Amino acid sequence: MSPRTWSTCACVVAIASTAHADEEVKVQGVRRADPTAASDLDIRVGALGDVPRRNAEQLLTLAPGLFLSNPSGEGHASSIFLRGFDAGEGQDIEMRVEGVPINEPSNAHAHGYADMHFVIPELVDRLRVIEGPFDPRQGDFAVAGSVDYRLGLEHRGYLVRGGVGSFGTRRLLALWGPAGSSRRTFAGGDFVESDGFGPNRAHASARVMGQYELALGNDLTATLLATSYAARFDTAGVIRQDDYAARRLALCPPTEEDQFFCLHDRNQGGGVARHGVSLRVEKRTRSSRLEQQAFFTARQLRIRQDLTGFVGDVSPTGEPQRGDGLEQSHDALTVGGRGSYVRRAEALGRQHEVEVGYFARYDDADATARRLRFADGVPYRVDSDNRLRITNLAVYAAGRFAPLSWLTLRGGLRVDSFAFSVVDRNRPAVDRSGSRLASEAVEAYGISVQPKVSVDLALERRLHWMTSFGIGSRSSDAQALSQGELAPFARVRALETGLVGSAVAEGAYAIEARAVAFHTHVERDLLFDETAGRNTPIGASNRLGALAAARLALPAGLETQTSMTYTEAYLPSGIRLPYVPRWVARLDASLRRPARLLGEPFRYNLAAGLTYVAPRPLPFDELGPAYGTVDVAARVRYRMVEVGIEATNLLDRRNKLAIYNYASNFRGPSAFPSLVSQQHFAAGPPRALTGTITLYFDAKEDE
Amino acid sequence: MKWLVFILALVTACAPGTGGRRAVFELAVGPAESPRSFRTALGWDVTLAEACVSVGPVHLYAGTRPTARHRVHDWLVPSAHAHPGVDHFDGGEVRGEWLEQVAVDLMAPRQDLGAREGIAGEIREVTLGVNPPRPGTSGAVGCLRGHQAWVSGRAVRGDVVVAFEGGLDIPAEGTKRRLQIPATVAIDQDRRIVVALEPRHWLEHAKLDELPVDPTSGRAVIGGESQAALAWELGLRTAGAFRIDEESR
Repeated sequence: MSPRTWSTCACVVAIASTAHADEEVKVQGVRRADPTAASDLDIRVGALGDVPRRNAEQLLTLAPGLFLSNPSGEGHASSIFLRGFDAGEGQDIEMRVEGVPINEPSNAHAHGYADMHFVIPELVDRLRVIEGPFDPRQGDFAVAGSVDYRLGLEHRGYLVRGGVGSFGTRRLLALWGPAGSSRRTFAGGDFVESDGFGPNRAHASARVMGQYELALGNDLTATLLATSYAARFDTAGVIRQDDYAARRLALCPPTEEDQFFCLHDRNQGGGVARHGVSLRVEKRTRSSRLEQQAFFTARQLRIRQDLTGFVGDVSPTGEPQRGDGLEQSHDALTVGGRGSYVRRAEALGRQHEVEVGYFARYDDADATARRLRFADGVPYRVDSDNRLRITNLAVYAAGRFAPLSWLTLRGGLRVDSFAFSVVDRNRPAVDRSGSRLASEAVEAYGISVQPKVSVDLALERRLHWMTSFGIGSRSSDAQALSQGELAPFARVRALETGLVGSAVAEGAYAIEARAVAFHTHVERDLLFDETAGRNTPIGASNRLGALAAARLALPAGLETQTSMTYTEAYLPSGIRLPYVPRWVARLDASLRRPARLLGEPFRYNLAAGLTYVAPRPLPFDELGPAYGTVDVAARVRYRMVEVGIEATNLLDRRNKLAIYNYASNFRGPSAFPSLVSQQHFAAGPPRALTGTITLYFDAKEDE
Repeated sequence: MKWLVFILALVTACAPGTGGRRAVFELAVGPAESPRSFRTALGWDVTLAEACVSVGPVHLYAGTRPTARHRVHDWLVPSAHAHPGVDHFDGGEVRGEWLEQVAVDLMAPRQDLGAREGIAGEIREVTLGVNPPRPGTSGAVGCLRGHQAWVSGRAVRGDVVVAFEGGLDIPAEGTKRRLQIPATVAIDQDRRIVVALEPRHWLEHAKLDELPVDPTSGRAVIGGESQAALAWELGLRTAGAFRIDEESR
């Protein structure tokens, strides 16, 4: 293998000759992609999947510097913080599962909303994380970066797991990996319900997934993926800090503990469903790869939240306000495809690569926002009611060229176009000219050209200095466009440089480490607006920072990964952006060991995950409290039975998961509304214990 | 690695702030230092016996500071305002507020409304609510007699003498109960913001000789939809009826 491809093939498609010269054995696996930047990571979940995580979304914390904050309940996508970006629920990070795009453009709740809860966490095999917009294959929303979940199940046979835990949490998981098939063929079902860790936090969900990888011969492979998911959840939302401090939240007893987990409005929560299929066909040869994928997704989402209480319902007749409760609904059908062709060639004694590809996506969605009465949750006003039809077409060309043994150049060009058609069904029925129809259509169009380039210097065989520059973009929120507008994009210019090294001592250890510094300039950034209940434009902004990350595996069964990231986000005027975490540190570790007791062999597993987020900057030069969790798990397996116990937030720390400053009034409909910005927070989960029993039915060789 | 640590330490030390600063300031409301006796625009020499008004809530806005381009434009092409010049829909950030209600007796010393936390910075607009007294309204509630404002006194023009009294009831239409006052003060840690009321503007254009007389009390009564009541409501909304001052604590 060439030194330049130092990390390209952990598990390769290979054709190996056996002792019998005329017998060819094919070993199928996943080819790791060529890294495009120093912070392009192919993260194998492996033993780190032993660390307790409530859902597949939390696997994202394996990415250096990524912090999740979910103030809106289980079933609601978390807000993602990465590289100084408050990426919202997906506005600044492109999310894919097996190549299927997850971000929902112009979602009524949040532009780019990306809900990963439909994925069964035990079926996530790897995460391809690219922090920054450095890969021509990255598409819409890849502003802070992109993540592609790759699915797989190592266990062949059946696995059934039952779990019972704190707060009435119950889980039943069943997985199946047919014998004789690759890890990429599996099926699974997952059912969860819980009363939640405080008032108004109950949730229930069900998800099933199946993937079948079929070798068609002639180097052709087809992979069919089907997913289905439904959930319902209640939300406590955020509470005012001054109400908590004064112990005056009326819906809970006046103790500090009860008030911390209390709420202002019971009418908050949501319901969600997602159903999707994807078919991918791939043909690989020694010198080329052709890939085609088609996908279809049906999606339904309804979220109810109340961030401000009684501020926005201005009544000209002096009547009491009805409430600011906001119901946001998004029903969407997505159909699309992607394809690529890679050609490799030898020249100058080294291998080079050229790739061309396309992406096409069409979304047909109904997006509505309605205000709800505080007293009974009944809608009383339509804020917006749009039918959206969005077409995203893109082509790209990428290449890898190695002119010298120690120099590799990577880069490419991507062109994205967006065609928006919006029918606004909430226009007035009367204007100055008289009566009119209450619907109005607008179209807008935009093109974004995104060059990327990367220079890779091989300082040693396993030590590389990589410097990358890339332009990424986020499409416009269709709900904010006007007729004939040349739809603007939020564009970022990102630059990073870093050292990436690895070392492997056969039978001793394997380590991979990196240290990266980065800077990003954003045009037309978005920041959360509590009145609109979504992110709104704030103009240009900048980020800079650095990260260090390492992963170590020891043959004794210990696997560990750690990272530390510092970021600073600020406006051109020098004002620092609030809420964005500066220091984020994460440690994941798992120990898997065999042992014997009374002569009987068994296996045990110990795992721990630590998260620390330093005090976050808040408005008025204030700092929020630090955030920290310690999650641990212990499991013992004897023959086909495994018993385990998991604890999340072991130290039972009272974390403020999300903190926002804005004006609100929860004193009542007749009270004079407060208009001065006040601190609000959402309580993080307390300590939760879960006991599990897992039955393994290993597949027989002849099955 | 040392250079990385050095740069990070440097960046952390030099990190800019998120802007803004909280400050505890005091708020007070009371009469301006103007005589109880004054002459109106219609020639009445008025001497007030009672004058009180319900005030609250109070919001203090940062307003929008005009840019240099706007200043030049305003100088070259002056704007005509149908109001004191305050943009009713662009008050900017609210930096301070008082969310209670107080009945202010303008014949008595001013009332301190206490200290409260706000956001330090310039205040260019203040809004006052003039609402009917509610349960819990503090101050001279009895003086209001159930109205949003009350006034009584004696007016003389030539040989005509009018003893008058009456209450003002502003309808809950639009923003009629929300008065907007331009200001050039600032919230800061050692400041007191004073809302000073000038009742001499209330009756500036009131035709007091056209008021009906209550046969029981023998006084002319301001109320209902009389010209004097309408003039009083308009007078209450004029820029001169209120003044926003600041002083050191």
